[in-house]
Amino acid sequence: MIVEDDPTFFNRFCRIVTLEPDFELFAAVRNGASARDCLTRGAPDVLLVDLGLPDMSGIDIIREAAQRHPNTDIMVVSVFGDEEHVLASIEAGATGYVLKDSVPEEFSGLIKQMRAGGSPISPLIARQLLQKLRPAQAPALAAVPGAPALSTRETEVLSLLAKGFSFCEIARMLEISPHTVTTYVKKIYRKLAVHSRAEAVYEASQMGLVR
Amino acid sequence: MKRARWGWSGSSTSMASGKSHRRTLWLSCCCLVWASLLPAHALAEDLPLTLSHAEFILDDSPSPPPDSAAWQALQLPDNWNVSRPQQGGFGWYRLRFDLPHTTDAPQAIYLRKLSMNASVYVNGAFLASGGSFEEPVARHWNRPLFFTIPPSLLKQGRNELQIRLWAYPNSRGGLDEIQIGSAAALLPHYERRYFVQTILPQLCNIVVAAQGLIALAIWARRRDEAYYVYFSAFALLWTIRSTHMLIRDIPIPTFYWDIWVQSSFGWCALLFNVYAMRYLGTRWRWMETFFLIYAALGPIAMYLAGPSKLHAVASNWSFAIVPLGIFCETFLIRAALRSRSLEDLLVTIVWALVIAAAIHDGFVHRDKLAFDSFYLVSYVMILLCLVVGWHQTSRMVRALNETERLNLELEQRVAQKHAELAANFERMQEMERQTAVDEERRRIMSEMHDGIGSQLIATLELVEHGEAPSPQVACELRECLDSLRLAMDSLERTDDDLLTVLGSLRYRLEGRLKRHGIALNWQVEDVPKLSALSPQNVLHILRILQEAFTNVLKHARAQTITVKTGVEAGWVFIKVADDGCGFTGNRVGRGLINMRRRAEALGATLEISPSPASTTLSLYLPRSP
Repeated sequence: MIVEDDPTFFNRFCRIVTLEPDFELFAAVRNGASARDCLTRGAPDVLLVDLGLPDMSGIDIIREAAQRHPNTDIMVVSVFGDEEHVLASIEAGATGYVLKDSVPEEFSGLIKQMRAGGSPISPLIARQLLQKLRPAQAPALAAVPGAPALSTRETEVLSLLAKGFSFCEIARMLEISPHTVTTYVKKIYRKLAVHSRAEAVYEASQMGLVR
Repeated sequence: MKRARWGWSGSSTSMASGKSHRRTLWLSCCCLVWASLLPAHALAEDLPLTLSHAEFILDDSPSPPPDSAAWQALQLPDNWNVSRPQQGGFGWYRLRFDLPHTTDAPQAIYLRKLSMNASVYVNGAFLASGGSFEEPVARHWNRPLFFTIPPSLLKQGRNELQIRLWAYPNSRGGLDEIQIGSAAALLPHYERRYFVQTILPQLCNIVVAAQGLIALAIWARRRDEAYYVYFSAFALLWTIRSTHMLIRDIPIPTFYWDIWVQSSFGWCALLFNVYAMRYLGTRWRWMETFFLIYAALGPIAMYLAGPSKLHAVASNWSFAIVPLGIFCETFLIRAALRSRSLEDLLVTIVWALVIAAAIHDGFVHRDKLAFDSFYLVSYVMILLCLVVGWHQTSRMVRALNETERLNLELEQRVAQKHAELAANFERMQEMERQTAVDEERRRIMSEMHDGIGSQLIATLELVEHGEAPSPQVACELRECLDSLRLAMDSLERTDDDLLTVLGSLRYRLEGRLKRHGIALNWQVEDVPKLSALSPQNVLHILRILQEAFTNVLKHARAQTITVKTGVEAGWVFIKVADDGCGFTGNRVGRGLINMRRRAEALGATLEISPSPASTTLSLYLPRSP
């Protein structure tokens, strides 16, 4: 399912998906309202969302989709892959992102990787995740009560990612498969999303929105 | 009817007159007034007899001397200082009185004033004793004695009372008039006198001691106000000394006891003088030294004078302190006139009272006043201590009030300054913010202008002239995009970690390298933190490396690029090596000039070591600017 308002990219994404034999287009919409409508009707395997929609923020769509269909892989379509937006999307429930200028092979490769259980990550995002999610060994440093702790392995993977090592290099260093590395990343994303939701609920209950 | 006498002594009365008499006891300093009116009947069961006619004999026999002895008639009170100077030891008094009839009501004998000790016999039978007659003899010089007489000892008609008395030479030994009569009628007289002579000084003592302790506590916390310690010493010494008015059995021989009692009186006076002078801000070392010497001389002189002359010496020594007290008084008066405060005035008045009391006591001591006179200084001392205490209290209250006022003022001033500082800080912050924004704006402008801007213009030119094939245009545009991304990355927080910077660079460039079929050998290792990784510097590093990569991509036809980090001679280095055809060195393009300029701005060293089969670019970064 594609949610994108820019006609050029809308067409381009549709083309890529339809041309790839392994993919099937579930829905392609140009605004948030239609996207919501589609999400009530069924669960796509993969959701591609642009953040800048005319009627609402893509983040809202991500949040809704993540709650409604936990098995849907949500991918953010970003112009620059700027970390702030990507991180906000991950907190809302996205587990991947794709750059608008990436070439078609990379694009479909990323989607496949995500379906296979992996997630892409940049060094800067790895770094920020390291700061947000405290390693299990240092519980005293946990900034937010109830913040999920990273396992030792996850911490290791994140810090290597932050230093620019690729999945393959990390896999070699830690003697695991590259696929496992991407799986770690996806797990970490999920932790952050769950944590963000818990935080949101906590804050909402503090503000009296939820009883 | 005898006229009532106002004064420090009880008036002597005579039974023989059979008339009523009135006694008024007045203690002006303590404002305590006792007045009593005794009924004018000569009936034995109602009225005590006052006996003033006596016979005397110097005799140290333990039992009453016989009638045949050489009794000599005399009139009570009998002060040995006057009647037999230099004489001490035992003496017997015999007093006769007639009772018209006997009675079953308890009778008593009341000795108003004696010195030093006495025992009483009635009709030859022993009645009672005031205590030990062995040295040190029980002391009753400031204590009345009261003994009840069993009715069986008295008989109708003539009765005889014998009193054995011990007196020290020249220490106002002797016996005052004796009263005999019903115990019920005499007891109040005895109790009244006992209260005034012993209980009241004890109460005064407690107050004086408390004042002394308070002053000591103040001094302990305010050592620079030494006058408190003089006052405290004065008050505490006076308290200890005053026990001589109450104590009956002394722990040391009478001679030494007398030296202590007489000397300590002078010491107290001197201490108070020093206190008052110092309190008033006058500190004459020579005078204080003189006081010290004088204080030491007293007991020495008394000791040398020996028991017989001790009291004469002591009296002179103490009396000489009176002028000092008057001298001190002039200071107090001057201070009171200057300050015109009630407290100062009161201290002045009370100190004058003390001097007056001391003079009075001096006269008593020299037998110029009645034998049974009270010593007054002890009673005035409580006033002195109360006034000084009040003085100290109001001084402290004033200081506290002043402190509170100052604190309030200080708080207001601090709050005012705080507000000013906050305003200043805000202004400065605003200015800093503005400066930072300006700097950032300049940086971004120059980046747009020199970097992406010129790249875009070059690409635009290619497209407009239609010279370039579209893959080349795409390549140029991707380069522009990479530049833009690097510029954005440079704004991320780095926490001074170089590897984060390199990580982003790799992430941005990897796609392009892959498309060119170049493998990246990533050999970074942890390096010490760099203290100057500002966005500006990060961008410099990124741009230098980007340029290096671009050069390799465009010219070197390399298979592999190796990126290494490490520390060498205190510098953190980044090396980018390729296995391409080598850098010829004769081509000094704009790219290289830019790299050198950026390295210079970083304070870094840029080395390019070309060889036929590879080129290594090394950037050495300082760990701190």
